[in-house]
Amino acid sequence: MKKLVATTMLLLVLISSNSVNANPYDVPSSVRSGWNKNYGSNDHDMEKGLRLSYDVYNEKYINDGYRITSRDFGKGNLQYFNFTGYAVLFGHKRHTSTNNRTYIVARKVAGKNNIGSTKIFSADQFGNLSATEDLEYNNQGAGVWNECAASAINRNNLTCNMRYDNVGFSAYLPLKELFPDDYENAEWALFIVKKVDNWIVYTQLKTPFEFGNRAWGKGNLSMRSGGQANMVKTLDYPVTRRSFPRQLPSQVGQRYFAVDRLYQMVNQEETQTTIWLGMRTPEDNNATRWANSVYFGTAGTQARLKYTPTQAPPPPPTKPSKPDGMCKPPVTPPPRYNYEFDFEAREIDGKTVQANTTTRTTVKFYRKSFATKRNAVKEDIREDILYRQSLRSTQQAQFISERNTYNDLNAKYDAAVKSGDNAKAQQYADQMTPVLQRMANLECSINSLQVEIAHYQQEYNDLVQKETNLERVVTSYTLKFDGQTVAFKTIGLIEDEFSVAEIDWTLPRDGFVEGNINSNRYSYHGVTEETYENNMIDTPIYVASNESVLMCSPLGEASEMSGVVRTVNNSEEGERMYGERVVTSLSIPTNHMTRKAGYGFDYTISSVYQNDDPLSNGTGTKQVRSYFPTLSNYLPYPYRTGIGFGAFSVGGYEANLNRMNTTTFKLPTVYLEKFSGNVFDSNTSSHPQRNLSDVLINGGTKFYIPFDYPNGTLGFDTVATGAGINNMTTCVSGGVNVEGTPINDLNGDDEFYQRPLSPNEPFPNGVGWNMLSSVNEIDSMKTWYNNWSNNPVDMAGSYRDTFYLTHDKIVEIQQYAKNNPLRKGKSLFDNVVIPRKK
Amino acid sequence: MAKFLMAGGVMLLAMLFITFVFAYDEATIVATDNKVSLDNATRNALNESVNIGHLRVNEEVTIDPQIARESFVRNYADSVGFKGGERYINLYYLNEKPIIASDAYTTYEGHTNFTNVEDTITRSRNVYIIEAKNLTR
Repeated sequence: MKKLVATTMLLLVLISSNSVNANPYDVPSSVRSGWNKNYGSNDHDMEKGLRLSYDVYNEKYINDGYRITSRDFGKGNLQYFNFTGYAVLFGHKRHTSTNNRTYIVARKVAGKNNIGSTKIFSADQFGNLSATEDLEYNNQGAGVWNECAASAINRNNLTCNMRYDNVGFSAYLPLKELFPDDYENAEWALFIVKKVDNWIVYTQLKTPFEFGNRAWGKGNLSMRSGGQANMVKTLDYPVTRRSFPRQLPSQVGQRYFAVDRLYQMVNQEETQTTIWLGMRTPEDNNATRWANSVYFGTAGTQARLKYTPTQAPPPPPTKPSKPDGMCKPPVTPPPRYNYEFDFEAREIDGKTVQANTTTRTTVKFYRKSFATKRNAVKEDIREDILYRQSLRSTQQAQFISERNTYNDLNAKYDAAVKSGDNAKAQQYADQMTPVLQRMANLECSINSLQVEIAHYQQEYNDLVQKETNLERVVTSYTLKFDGQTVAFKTIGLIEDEFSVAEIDWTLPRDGFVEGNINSNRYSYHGVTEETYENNMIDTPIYVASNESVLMCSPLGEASEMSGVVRTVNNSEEGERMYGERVVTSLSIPTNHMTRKAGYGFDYTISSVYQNDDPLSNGTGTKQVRSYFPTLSNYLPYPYRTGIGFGAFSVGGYEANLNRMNTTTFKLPTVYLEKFSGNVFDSNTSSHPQRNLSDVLINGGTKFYIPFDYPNGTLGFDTVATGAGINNMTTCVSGGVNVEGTPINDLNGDDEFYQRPLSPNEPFPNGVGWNMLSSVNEIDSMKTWYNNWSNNPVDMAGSYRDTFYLTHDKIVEIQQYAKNNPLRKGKSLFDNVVIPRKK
Repeated sequence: MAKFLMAGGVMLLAMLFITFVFAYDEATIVATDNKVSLDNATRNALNESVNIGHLRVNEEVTIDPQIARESFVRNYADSVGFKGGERYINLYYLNEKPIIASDAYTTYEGHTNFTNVEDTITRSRNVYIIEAKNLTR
């Protein structure tokens, strides 16, 4: 136990001593105003400076990853929610002790008021952590391999490696500032912001931990970042499947994690700066394989810190008591209820389109209903009126009764006076005094009640009048992009009505689109909205990435690319992001993987497109082209060089593949001359080399290898372009092994060979498969083969063809052959007459 | 006299021997020329007539009989070296299958002895095929 306490103390001392200038309130104005201008993530390109990689540690410094602790940062001793991690803008720039800082932003997403408001806290450098070695591509031990120049900006680590020093952070979120009201259900979504010099990028914060019902204040704190927080996937390629953290790639070979596949995280290693993830890997029989977390993204959700009060707020003060019938001056309090109305921007979406083209933004506006509350107030007023009316009737009856009593006593008094009975008259006079007083009280009270009834009736009428005037309120709304107004329109809403506005406008670049109702903040019939905090809602919006994969995937591995098609921010449900992805793969039949030069091989491109957004009209790959290093005559495919697609380029003979169905592409059908073997792209080809005497046969969708192609691999690249809203490009490489030729190969690497045959012993080594149907015919040649004629002149009839050649005829044939090469469609026999006999 | 008769007899025997040797050599040359030419013609006709397009598409060998027929004649004529004689070259078996059976006869008017002149016939015959190496496809 002592050891545990000592360890904890040491840990706390380490946390405190390692913190440098830790003050969560030290946030520069550039971050306050510009923290959400550039959205990044672990999926973004390093070359654009948007690759924000971070980890929140689960065990490295704090058990379970977080703690609630008391600290004094100049605002007294307050309680803070504290966690540690590291963050870098991977590939953007060299990180030094002076140029990089990390910030945590909290955006209020639920509560009674101030929804959408943000608070920014500095999470200062911590622990002297360096991620240089962890992020180094082809790390070969101490030092930086292939280091970038100190001034280099936005480089992929495949190009060169940067230094990332002092990138650790410790975040302190002041709980009382986030949850000042002990009785308010409130929830904050968390973002992480990274600033390197003047470049600021943000993304949603996801943590490895979550918790619920931790007692704090007058309720419970909870944190969720859950979902499938233990499921991770990579969008990078290639990420090596290591047997242990930081294993040298050369010890592993070319074994990589599949792109976009979810892996279950079963272990973590936090000894260095970045976390290494151990994942159950189906490719290796579910063994644990390791990778750096910077190449993976968790499938969890954005972290949300929530406070739930467990105690009810104190009861409201009791209403003033109703009048007791005694004479009081009329009470005419101010109206108990001010007419309430409130507009709300409930939801907005940002649809990805090509830059400088029209996007349609949908904004859902809402007018809250206060009818229930108002009806209760009206009922309350009516009750007040009815009660007073009833009381007035009662008192009026009492007044009449008292007056009758008085008149009766008065008559008795007059009679006693008339009879001279003063004692009796005094007795009646004494009785009349309180009656007169009660009459006066009742009269006063009735008058007061009448004033009050008129007052409450007026209150009631005023409320009804407001209901009439404000039944439907026409107001303005604006749509802004990065603060610039792109649309200004009007809209009319009754209570509890949703109205969906669809606005077409031109999107110039990535940014934020914002919808704002009652943008002029007008009052209507003297009534002002309850709050303007909920009049605005925004969401990030992206231009199409037009992105290509970094390199073509080798045969057997798919090429994958993904992008954002739409973001949605709903004030009640939070932010959602819809994505699309395309997965392209190449398949070659197993028996076509090795081919003779001259033969063809078949292959199929599968390009599967998925879109999470039910409203998106994105479609899959539009065009597929293959690039070959060689080509059989006479296909008209042009030879192209250096065709660039982002990070890679291809070249060769370019063939457009045909779409067979939604996802499948194949080469176009080709046609071969039966005798010459020349290849054409059409069965009606008018190519100058086309010999019309040679029939064309359908060659299918195969690629025909030239006969002179040398032994070795024939590799080719296939590029699939135009997928989805983001115009994504994928690329797969294929290859077949070329070995030998079909007939009479010089090295004997052939399938057919020519040989002399004796019908007497035709197949001493067995019958070749193509001769199986000819065995009987060859056997029937024996008679001819074994007998000779002594008179060749008369044998002509027993042959298929007989040619009688004299010396002159031989010379004539030789002369013709010299000038006329053997060609289908042009016959020797049309020009040289050769008799069958002398 | 006896010596003259002896010398004449020896001379006559020598002349007969020389004539025989010459006649025998000429026949051998004609026969070899015919055999080689037929062999060349058949082999080349088989190779040159392969339907390359059919081979590329169907991966089996067929031949074009018209091309094979012309190639056979061309190659025989091209291969012939001996100018004398008359020749009958025959195609016994020829269709689309990669099999050609052929023979050739050459009639040559030669001197087989000192006094008689008669036709010498040389003959050659062969069958060539293009066969798959594998027994099953």
